[in-house]
Amino acid sequence: MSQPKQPFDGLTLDIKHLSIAFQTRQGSVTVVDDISLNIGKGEIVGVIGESGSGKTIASLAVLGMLPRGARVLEGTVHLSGDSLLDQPESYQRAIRGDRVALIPQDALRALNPTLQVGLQVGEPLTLHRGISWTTARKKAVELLRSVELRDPEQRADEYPHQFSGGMQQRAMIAMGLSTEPELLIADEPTTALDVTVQAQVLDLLRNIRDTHGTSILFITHDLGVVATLCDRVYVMYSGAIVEEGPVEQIFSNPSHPYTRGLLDATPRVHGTLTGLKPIPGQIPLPDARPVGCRFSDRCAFAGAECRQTPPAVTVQEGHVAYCVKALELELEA
Amino acid sequence: MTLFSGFSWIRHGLLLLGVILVGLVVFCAVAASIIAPYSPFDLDVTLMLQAPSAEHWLGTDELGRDVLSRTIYAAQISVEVALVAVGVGVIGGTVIGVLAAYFGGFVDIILMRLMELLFSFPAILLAIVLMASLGTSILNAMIAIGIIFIPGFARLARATTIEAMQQQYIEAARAIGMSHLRILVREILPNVVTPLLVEAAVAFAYAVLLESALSFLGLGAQPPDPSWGNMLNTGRGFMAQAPWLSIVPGMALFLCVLGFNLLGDGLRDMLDPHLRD
Repeated sequence: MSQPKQPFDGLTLDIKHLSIAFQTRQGSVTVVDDISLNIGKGEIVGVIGESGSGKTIASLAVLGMLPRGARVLEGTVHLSGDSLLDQPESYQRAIRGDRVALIPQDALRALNPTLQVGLQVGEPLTLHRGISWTTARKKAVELLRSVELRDPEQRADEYPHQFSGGMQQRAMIAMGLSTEPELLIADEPTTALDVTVQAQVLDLLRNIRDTHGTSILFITHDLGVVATLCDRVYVMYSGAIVEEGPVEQIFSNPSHPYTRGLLDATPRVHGTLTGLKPIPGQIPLPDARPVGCRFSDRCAFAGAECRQTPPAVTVQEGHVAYCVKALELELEA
Repeated sequence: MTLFSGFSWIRHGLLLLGVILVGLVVFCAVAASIIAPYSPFDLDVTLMLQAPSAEHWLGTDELGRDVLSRTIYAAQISVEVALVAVGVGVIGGTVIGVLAAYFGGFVDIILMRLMELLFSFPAILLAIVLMASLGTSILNAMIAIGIIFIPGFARLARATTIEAMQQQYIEAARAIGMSHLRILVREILPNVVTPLLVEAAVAFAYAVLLESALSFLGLGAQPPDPSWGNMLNTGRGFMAQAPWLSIVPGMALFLCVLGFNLLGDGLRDMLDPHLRD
């Protein structure tokens, strides 16, 4: 097959200048606007943002599963050097569940209630490796054991509703791991779980990275989860990336007012509740974004210069904020 | 099984009655040659139009044939027609409905407008038109009745498919690289089967009725093959001298249709989680 290939530079996922728009009756609405994002091998990268910031749509583009009406306007997506966009459906289908696996938010709803868990966990293997159902079931038991599910032999024959929330998520992770993919896309996989179970699942993901060298794209709105799990983080706001950098950098030295707002709005164990500062206003609709910096209408620091497209300001090596005042703010902090 | 836990035949008395009636009809159909006291075709003019007696429990018809035997054999034709017709309807309707829902857009519009076109004709009229163009035979009656059923099943299949497609596990199935066909068969079809099953039981009743209507009009089962419909038609001419000629097949038809309807309603109640306590 003659797939457009770019020289492999060690990046598992390389998204460049990706823009995605929805066609509506009112015209085209850009929901993901010129984002560039990459993940190295064995790296865990967080994408953080409020609902509607475009983080899930961007991940669906990687899987070639954009909803009806959504279209990639420009940009490229490469998986270990192989282009993923503008490929026939059959090519994308061969990638999905084999080289890229998705771990969804709500595991119970992502499992088919009419099928035994073992069959579902082994399904990607029958699809992509052409192995028989019996072998797949045996592999499924091993996989369930590897995600630390107790009594995997017996559990494999049970139905999803007989599983607890944490067990369902483990089963989904086992399914995602079955083909040993290069990239795991985890779309808020812990949001629906109890805090203790959440910690176990995060541990499991970290172990997977450590043992298999799997790259993980972790989509969330939970800063705490990002802090414990991720190596690097991208902050998205209203369809664009506003800040990116190593996790310690972002947390110790947030240089975009939105990132800072997010941190101030997150309760901390040692802080007082009175210290919580919600960000005023709400995320603008894609067709009603302010001119220039899209955060400017909610930003306490906004001035006349924010009516321009914000520049990429390198705060430190690998830490970039898309804010004209990034360095000023840094000094202020 | 969770489906049947706490199930009691007493609470579902009508379902029980339905099961008994349907069982009786199916038994007659399957075992007709064993339980029928006479051949349904044996003529004996010396015995014509005899009232019910110890020898001929339900009397004889205008050609001296045993009415009970003919009624039992007619069940065979009714069940056969209903089975094939409902089969055609369920399979055709499911395929069309599921495809329309799954692919949506243009496919959906074309297929469902076609279904509405079929729906817009009164069923019996459509059956007569189809029979007129296909020719009168019992096989064509099966096909014609089947075609009439397709739009109803298609709508139901489409609605349940649309509901199932909003489930996240369909997206999850796509995310592991399943093809459209595999998703349809493995993930969606199991959700569609239950409501279709209930609808099929009710359609069965309607198929029996339609077959009788067509045979009554001379378009279905052809003499000398017995069918409740053509028996009723013959009986019409002897209403005063031999009322049993009309009453017996009429009652058989009534009980059969009642049985299938009760079965369908009972199944609906049993399978509907909102009506289960």
